[in-house]
Amino acid sequence: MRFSEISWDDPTEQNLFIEEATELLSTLEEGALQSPPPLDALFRAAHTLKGSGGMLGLTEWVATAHHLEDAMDQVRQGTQPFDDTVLQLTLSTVDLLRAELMGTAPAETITAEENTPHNGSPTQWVLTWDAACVMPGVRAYQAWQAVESVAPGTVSDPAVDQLGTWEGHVSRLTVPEGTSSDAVRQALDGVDDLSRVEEAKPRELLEPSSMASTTSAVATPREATIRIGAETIERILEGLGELLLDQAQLEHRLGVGADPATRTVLGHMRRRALDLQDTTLRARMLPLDTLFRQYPRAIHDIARKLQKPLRLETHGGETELDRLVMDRLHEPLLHLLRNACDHGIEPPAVRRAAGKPETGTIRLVSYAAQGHVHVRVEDDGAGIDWNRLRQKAVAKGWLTSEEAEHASEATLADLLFRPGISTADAITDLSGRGVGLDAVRSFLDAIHGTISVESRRGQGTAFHLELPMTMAIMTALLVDAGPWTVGLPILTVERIEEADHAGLATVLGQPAVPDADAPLPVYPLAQLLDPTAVSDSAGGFLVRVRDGRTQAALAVDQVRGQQEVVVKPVAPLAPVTPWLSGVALLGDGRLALMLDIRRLVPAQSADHGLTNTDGILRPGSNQMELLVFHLSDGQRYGINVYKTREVLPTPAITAVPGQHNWLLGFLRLRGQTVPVVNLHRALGLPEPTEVPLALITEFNQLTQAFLVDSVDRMDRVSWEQVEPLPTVLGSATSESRCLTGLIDHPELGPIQLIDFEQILAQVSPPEFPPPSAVGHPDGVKGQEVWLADDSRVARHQVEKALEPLGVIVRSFEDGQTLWDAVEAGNTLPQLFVLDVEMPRLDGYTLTHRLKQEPRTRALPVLLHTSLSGHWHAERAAQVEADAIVTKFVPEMLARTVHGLLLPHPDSTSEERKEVTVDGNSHRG
Amino acid sequence: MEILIADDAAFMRMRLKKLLEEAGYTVLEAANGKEAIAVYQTHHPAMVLMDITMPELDGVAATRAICQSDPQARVVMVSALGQQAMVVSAIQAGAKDFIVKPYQPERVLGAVAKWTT
Repeated sequence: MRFSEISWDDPTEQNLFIEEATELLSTLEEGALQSPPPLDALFRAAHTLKGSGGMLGLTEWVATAHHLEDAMDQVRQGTQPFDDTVLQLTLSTVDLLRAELMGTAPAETITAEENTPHNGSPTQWVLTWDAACVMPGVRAYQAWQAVESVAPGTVSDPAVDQLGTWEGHVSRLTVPEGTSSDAVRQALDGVDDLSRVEEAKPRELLEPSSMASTTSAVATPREATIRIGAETIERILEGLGELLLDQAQLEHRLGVGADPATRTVLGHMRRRALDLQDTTLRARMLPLDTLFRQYPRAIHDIARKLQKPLRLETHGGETELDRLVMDRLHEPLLHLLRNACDHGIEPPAVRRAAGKPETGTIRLVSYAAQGHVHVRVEDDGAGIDWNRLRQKAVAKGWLTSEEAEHASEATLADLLFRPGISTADAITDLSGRGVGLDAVRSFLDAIHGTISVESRRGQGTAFHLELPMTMAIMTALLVDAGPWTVGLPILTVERIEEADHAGLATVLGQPAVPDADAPLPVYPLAQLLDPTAVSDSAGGFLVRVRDGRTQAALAVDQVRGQQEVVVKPVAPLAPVTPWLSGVALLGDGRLALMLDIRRLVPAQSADHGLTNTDGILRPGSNQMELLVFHLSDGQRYGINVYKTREVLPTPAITAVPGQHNWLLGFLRLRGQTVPVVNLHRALGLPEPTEVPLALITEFNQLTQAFLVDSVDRMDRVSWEQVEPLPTVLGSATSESRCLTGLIDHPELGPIQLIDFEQILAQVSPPEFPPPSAVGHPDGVKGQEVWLADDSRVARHQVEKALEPLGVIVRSFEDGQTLWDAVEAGNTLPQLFVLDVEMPRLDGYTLTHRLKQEPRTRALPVLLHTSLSGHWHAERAAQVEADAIVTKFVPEMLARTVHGLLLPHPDSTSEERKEVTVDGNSHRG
Repeated sequence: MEILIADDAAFMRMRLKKLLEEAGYTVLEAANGKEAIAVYQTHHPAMVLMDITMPELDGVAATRAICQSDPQARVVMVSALGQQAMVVSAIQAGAKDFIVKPYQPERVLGAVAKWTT
């Protein structure tokens, strides 16, 4: 008798049999893949399977299990080794018996068959999918489609409309009578990832009463307890949340006037509900083994395919993780494991030559620590070839060759997660470590996890994943900001301090507090949440937060303390308020807004960081991050990202009469009035009636918007790639020339760099102070200043600003020209004034060179930049500039130049450790 | 032999194009579903590599239109992990197969070889 032919009297009995058999089959599968295999346990499992099957009179089942039991016994006695034949026998027995168990069909299949008029009995086909198959649902659909085309009326289990979300390994087809087996096999021939096709005997209809329970029991072979749908748990949690809210309202209504008995009941009610909430949340946690147990088989299958001996060790499978997180972890983990097998572990011959065991070992390790679950995928393969990666990074223009040479492994490892390295070259050059890692990282980003890599050449590679333990409950720091109560994930909070004692200062117009590496920008939280809110105070407290690479200090009115909260997602609002990760119900009936720090803190500090540990865009790398956009002529134009603040759909613009005709008017942004410049008109391009995007920029200490047609992308380019405009183009339009350079981008073609400062200078010319405001020219008169600036207008402005000092200014049109003069020249100036953004050689890099060169090391360097933002003090210090002045305040520039040129009586400039930032001293 | 690549990401198109051209195929490009249908009607390429998420008209809808007008059309979906349900709809609409992004070159070439012979 076959399993499907049994008529069960008692559904409980049937469930128990299925559960137990499923468990035993897992024991067999997992055990067989262990090294050494637990022979006694394997033998017992085979024996028990045989015995239970015998009770039910399952003849084929018993024969199969008996065969395996025999083999195990021989191995146990030592008369036969546990070799590949035995392993294959074990695995195929497991597959066979599993398929037999699956032979109990779900109700809908039966109904469908009954409704399809066919003579004779249909045949069952059991399809086993490759454990490494990426989208089994698609394959199962294709299989159904192929068979259905030769045998109309074929029914799939799971049902066709379920396959979109199906993630199993075994599916079945019920093929109507009258189709030959060969035709079915032939139809299935073209379907990929099908590891086994089996035709089962005609099946009898089951008793309807036993069917419902069977279906659910077979669906996921796990757990020996009752099964609740994830949705049910969601509903319970929701209900509990609402109950708590009701309780809080009740407490609030009755207020302090309630009698003691009522208060006791209310208190009890609240504690009970909270307990239940906790218990329910824990019910959603599953041991990682649930996920891990499917990988030994996947690795085994991959190993056979690759013909590499591989071994998988798993540790820490008992670590618990929220089901919601676990569900999303499967694909990235499989990706990493497949990578490790395919590219990490060397071919056996190579391993032998390197003195390693031929069998490659992959370790899957998990543990819980610091509120996170950690999962590591380790291999003992060839490791990452850092030198190849260095070459790759240079070839891609991500690093200069000098940087690449000194780049730390951490810096290089980070490059692996960039899109674009997942190419054919990466597979051969880097032993494939780049394949799809950017996809893995974005998966982790979505669940607030992180991934990092460690690798040792010749010894192996480890990917380290850090995951939140649960997605719904989190410990939050509750703070008040303006009218809101806000929750910050406690893991992102680094420090809380009173604003008065935090050492709040203003660096280049941005409030900041000192931090370990660099000034940390301070943002009033209420204003980040609602830009139109007027901040009346700096807030009573500062909360320093860090999430990934995002760091900031948030000014808040009040800190309420820490609390475990249940976060409800608020998907429909996401586009409007991307920083809102959900809302949490608080005990007093209020809602707390839960924040996603990474999306809240303005991008400049998020992306560019304050530290140089990422090593990617350090000053002195002669690179810039370029935002590429289109204008009405269809051509590409670029602006340094550091000059931009954000891009938004063009808001309403208020026209103001009597302005420069390049000015369109004003727009309101977070309570600020921002002038809008008609970029098309400034460049002499056709003016569209509507320009969809407003590019908000910040430079020369001013905020202004430029309207652009579309934004293409951000790209890192080297200033070496930037060519100055040919003179004929430059001089043709003389004063009104609005472009500073041209990049011939390998992928995008020509990108023109717009001279935004020149446009701004036209719209609002700077005011030059009377000479008397600058100070006495005593002691500096006749000294020589070398000035490098690619903007003709800027050069002219600087010359004019320094005129009252009586210094001699020699101007160069970019950094390279000035450097050539230093190298070739016999004379040197007393001071360098350098623009930061210049074609060929930028101001940071030039400063660095000047400070390395013995002849110029002692000469002061002033960086004159249009870029606003607090990080410049840090950057200037890194390249050892002596002063930094933000464009364009003639008086400030002249005063700083004056100060630098005056002799310093008590110190030589080599010992000077302070940087002057816009006239204020800063420790460098 | 002509192959149509429909993808809104210029970068993806470039990558695929390079790969296919090196393998000796002629490549046509479309940046959204609408364009893909138009190019298909005029050129009748041997096969289409179709991205799923595209502006104007997504890959599933474009596949449906193409396969309705030409039941012989060979459309292979290029899908990201986690788009299984979309891929199933695409196959339902007439697509023949799928490749998962980020793809490995040999998989793409394998799929192209399989569906153009």
